[in-house]
Formats: sequence, structure tokens, C-alpha cells
Amino acid sequence: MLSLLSVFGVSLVFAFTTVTFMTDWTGPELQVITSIANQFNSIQNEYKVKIVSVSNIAEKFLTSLAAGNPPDILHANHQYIAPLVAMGAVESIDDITKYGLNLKEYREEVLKSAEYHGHLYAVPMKLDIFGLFWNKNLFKKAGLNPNDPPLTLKELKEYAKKLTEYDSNGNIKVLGFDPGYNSKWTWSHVWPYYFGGTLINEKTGAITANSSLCIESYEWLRGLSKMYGSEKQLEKFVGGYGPYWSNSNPFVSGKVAMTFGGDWIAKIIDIYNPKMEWGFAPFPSAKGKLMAYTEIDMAVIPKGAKHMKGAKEFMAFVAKPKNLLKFLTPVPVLKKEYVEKYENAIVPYPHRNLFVKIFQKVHLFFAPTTPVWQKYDALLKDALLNILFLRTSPQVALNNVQMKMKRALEMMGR
Amino acid sequence: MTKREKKEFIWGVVFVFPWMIGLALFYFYPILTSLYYSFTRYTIISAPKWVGLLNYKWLLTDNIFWTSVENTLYFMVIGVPLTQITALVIAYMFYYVRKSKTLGFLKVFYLFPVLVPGVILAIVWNLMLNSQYGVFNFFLHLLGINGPNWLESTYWTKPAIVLVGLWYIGMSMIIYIAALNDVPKELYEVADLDGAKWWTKLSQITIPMISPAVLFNIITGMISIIQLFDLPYILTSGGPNYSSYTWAMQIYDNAFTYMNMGYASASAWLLFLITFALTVLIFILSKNKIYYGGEE
Repeated sequence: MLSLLSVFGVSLVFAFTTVTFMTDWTGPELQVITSIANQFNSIQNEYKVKIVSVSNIAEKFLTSLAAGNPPDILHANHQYIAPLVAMGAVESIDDITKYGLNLKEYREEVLKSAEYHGHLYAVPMKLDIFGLFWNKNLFKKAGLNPNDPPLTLKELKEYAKKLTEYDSNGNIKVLGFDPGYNSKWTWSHVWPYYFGGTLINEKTGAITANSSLCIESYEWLRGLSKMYGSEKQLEKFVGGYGPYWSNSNPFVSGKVAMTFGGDWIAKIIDIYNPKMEWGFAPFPSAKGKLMAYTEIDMAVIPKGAKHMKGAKEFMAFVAKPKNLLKFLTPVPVLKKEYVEKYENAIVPYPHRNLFVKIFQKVHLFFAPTTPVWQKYDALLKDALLNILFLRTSPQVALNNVQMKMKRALEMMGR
Repeated sequence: MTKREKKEFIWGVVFVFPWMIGLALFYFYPILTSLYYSFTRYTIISAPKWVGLLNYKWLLTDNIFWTSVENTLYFMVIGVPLTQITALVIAYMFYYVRKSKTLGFLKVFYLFPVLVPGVILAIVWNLMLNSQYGVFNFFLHLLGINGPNWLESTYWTKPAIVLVGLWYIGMSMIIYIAALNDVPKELYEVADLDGAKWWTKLSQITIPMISPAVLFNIITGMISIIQLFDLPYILTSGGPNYSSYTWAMQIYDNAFTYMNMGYASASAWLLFLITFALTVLIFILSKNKIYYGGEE
């Protein structure tokens, strides 16, 4: 009996508090966060961080929250911060600097995206930059300079026309520019920003889906589709798209000459078509401003997390520059001077210089911050696809979005 | 009740009690709480706030909801009769060759799709229905037909999903084969003696005798179609332009994507009431048309 008690007592002394980190990362990103967690576990005796990788993270998180057993840290993209805050699902972390996190190390716009209504809710971890990818071989074939991407929207349309090819039956064989015909990989919310517009009023939070600049941006996209052909021709062409992360990706397989997407397209090319010659540049904007859409992976603390102190300790540890620079991303969330200071910690990343050179010149913008982001995103996606496939006009589609969003906010009691 | 009957009753209750607890906790409790939530604004995280009939009012004025109802009705009105007729025809063919063991063995192949998870089938069909490289359009092209854009056209997505649904006729077919084998052979002998043609035998003997199986398959088929989710979710995500968006997807999106649990609960209760009403209607309409062998 005494020996049993002593064993129990000893085990209590060495008992760790388990801090769970829920993420939907797989592959290299999962390996990075796991190695950071292992390092954190090895340098202190109080907490043991457990990385839990799940699919359908939104549903699983919601279930765990409803059950009163949420993870201590949740990995969320920045556009979900506002909905999570509006639901009362996450804690603010205004005091995280006490745990050693230096907020001054972050790029200002990156830090701003982690805030909502004056409070800090998330720790940014990783950043993806979006822009225009082009196939240099197809550029050469069309008689275009492969090293000169279009610098204006007018040029882009002209290039798209030259690059589009048809077969003897009039079916599209190669598409000049794909702005997002595939419903699973389309970023419908970015286009108004490239025309100088916004999707919400930043001060009041009001939805501005049918503002003149939003409609103008979608009209431009509709003009592209009209230039390519009919609804049936586009449907037939897009119907031949293969899975995104495969050698049947339309851009990687040479079916699309230019596309809009995130820096991970470089990874897809390296895996499935490493001989492809390609380029990346900021997507042209209507007013000539160099800008790039960005998505940020962040860590938040759910409401009801049982080990908040441990969660904050780990989040502050992840936010150390030498750990942030381990993430396999071409551009980190840190200010330039901190990247240079910790240059030795940067993990080698193919094509890093290309993305960094562009990143340093552009103004970053993000998805709009609104508590009804999921509904807004779904409605905009539907509107964009209807416009791209010439089923409706931008005015009608965006008026519809505006009306439905007004309803969605009323249903939320706002 | 005698003492012995009382004792037996108590022991019966004791034995079913664990199952009743499970039924109450995991079936009746969630159903009743969802009814309560349907009258509240509820996001799971915060406490439900009573709003009365507001969720139902929002539903009835939501055009995405009505689109999902229309699509579900399409699958029910087209899909159920088509799958049942196909299953019955194939079952009759197997019944006709029932004496041949080799041909009878082919029944197994119709059961294979039922054994494969719906998600896997949907992924395979996604490739088969690819408008440029898919198997279906390849064979149509060989016949000189320009195959449609099955999953990209707002017109063709629903027929595509009905086509995929035809793969699931295995279970219905097995039930029909069992019912056909149960038809007394004497009835056919008497009909032959009277000089009845095959159509008369089919309509006056076969169909009435297997009518309980037809009723069962129609009701279970209807309930299954009305809850259709996995096929359109994987094949088309409910698009394009909500053309294949079903009622079950509308409930799922509102509950787990938009976190509007109260609204989703109201939609789920409407779905339950409609399903119940349709089932009762089928029973009423079929009252004098179903032949039960054990009826007095």
C-alpha cells in the first residue's frame, strides 16, 4: 500500500499539464508545428503540448466547444477571427506580452488582422501571398515576352485573348487567364480590392457588396468570360479540370496560361511539373497600386480552454522569430529587420527570393473582417461563379448578395 | 394482472431498461431539445435566446431554402419512381432466370455499390462524369452524341445525381426478388389454365402480390432521398448556382458552417413534418391497393 502511494506521489510530481493544439495542417506544416511543440516540451517541466491534426476542423471544434471540452489552442485563418469573436468562442489575449511575446516584431498590417474591436485575439504564425502566376512556355508560344507579365488590367485582358486557344470544334483548349472558374478554388472576395473598392465599410462594418467599384470589378471579370465564349463552352472546359493538388491541375498541366492563386502553387509545380517555366507577379490593380491579397494562419484560445496559461506560454514560444521562420512559407509574418536578424533560422524554401522581392514592394490586404464571414464568402462565391459563367449580371448578383447579407445580419440580431 | 404476469412484466422492463435509457438520451432528448432550439437564436456557444416563430418565418421567406426544397422534391418525384421501376424490372429478370445458378449469381454485382461507402462512390462518379475525360461522355461520343456538362451545367446536375442514385438499387432489388419468390405458383397455374397472357399475369397477380414490398421500398426510398446529402455534397457541393442543393445540405450549412443552430433546427423540424405527412399520405393512398396475405 505504501509503495503504491509513493508511486502515485512520484507520478504527481512529474505530471505534466497537457495543452492541446488543434489544427487541420498536414504534411510539412504539421511537421514544423510538431517540432516546435517538441522543443517547447523539452525546455520546461510544467506543460506538454499535444498537436492534434483533424479534418473538418470547424465541425470538430464546434462539437468540442458544445461539449465544454475545447482544445486549448485552435489554428484558424484570420478571416474566422471576427465570426469566432462574435459567437463568443475565443478569448482575447491582450496580456500575451507578459509571456515573452514581442508584438513589435510583427508587420503592422499582420498584427492588425489579429485584432478585432481594439483587442488582440490571435497570434499570427504563417502567411500566404497571392498573385498572378503565368506559364512562360505558353507566353512564348503566343508571341509574348515570357519575362514580362501584364502590368495593367487592360494588358492582362489583351494577353488573355492572345493566349486562349480553341480546337477545330470551337472548344476551348487553353484558357488565357483563369480568375477562379473552379468552385472549390476561387477567391471571390479579392476582386473589388484590386479595383480600389471594399466589401465592408471598415468603420461601420456595413456590407457594401453592391457598391459601384465592386460591380465594376465583377463586370471586368464578366468581360473576360464573354471574350472566351459561351456558358456551354466555359462549362465544358472547366468540366475537364482535375484535382487541384495533382498533375491535372489546369495551370500545372498547361490548360491555363495565367492564374490567380497563392504561393503554394509553386509547390504544386515543383511536385507535379518541375520542368515548367513559370513566373509570379503582383496581380495588376485598376489604379496601378502594387498590392497583394494575403491569408494568415493564426492561433487562438477558445473560450472554456482549461489551460490558458499553458496555451499562452506555447503561443508566445511559437511567436519567437526563430520558430516563426521555420514555417515553410516564402514570406514570414515578421518585420524585415527581424527576418534579417534571424536569417540563420530561415528554413530553405524554393523560390523564396522571388516571393520576398515582390512582398517587399506590395501593400498587403486581407479578407474583410465581419462576424458573418462564412455566409458572405458563400454568397460571393455563388455570385462570382454565376457571373463568370454568364448566367447573370454583376448588378443583379451583387444586389442579391447585399439583400441576403442584410438578412443574415438581421438574423444575428445586428 | 396476475402476480405472475406482473413479475414477468417487471422482468421485461428490467431487461429493456438499458436500451430505453439509450433511446431516451440519444434519440428523444436530442429531438425534443432541437424542437426547443427551433424557437431560439442559438449558436451553441452562447445560451439560446427565445425568438418564437421567427426562425420559421425566416425560413418561409428564404429563397435558398425553397430552392433546396424544390431540388429535394425533384429527386423524390423523379428519383424514387425511376429507381424502383429499374429495381423491379431487374428483379423480375432475375426471377425469370431463377433456375439458372450462373445467371442468378450475377445478383451479387448489383449489391456491390451498396457495400461501398457513398463518399467513395461519389468520388469515383466525379471522375466518370467529367465532361471532357469521363467514361460516360467517352461512350456517348462513340455513339456520336456530344455528352453534356454533367456536373458543371445547372440543367444537368440533378439528372447526373439521379443517374448515380440508380447504382443503389441493389437492396430494393433483393427485396423485390424475395417478394417475387413468395408469390404462390398455383396462382400462375390457374391463370395459365384460364389462358391469361403475360401482361394479365403481371398486373393481376404479380404486382398485387408484391405490393407490400413495393410500398416498403417506396417509403424507405422516399425517406432516404429526402435526406440526400453525401452525393451532391461530394459531386457538386450543391452547385452550380444551388441547382443540386438539397434540404439536408441547407440544414447542414446553417448548423455547422453559419453556426445558426436555431434556424437549422427549424428547417430540420419542417423536414421531419413533411416526411411524416408524405408517409401518412402514401399509406392513405395505398390503403386499398396493397394486398396483405394475412388479412381477414
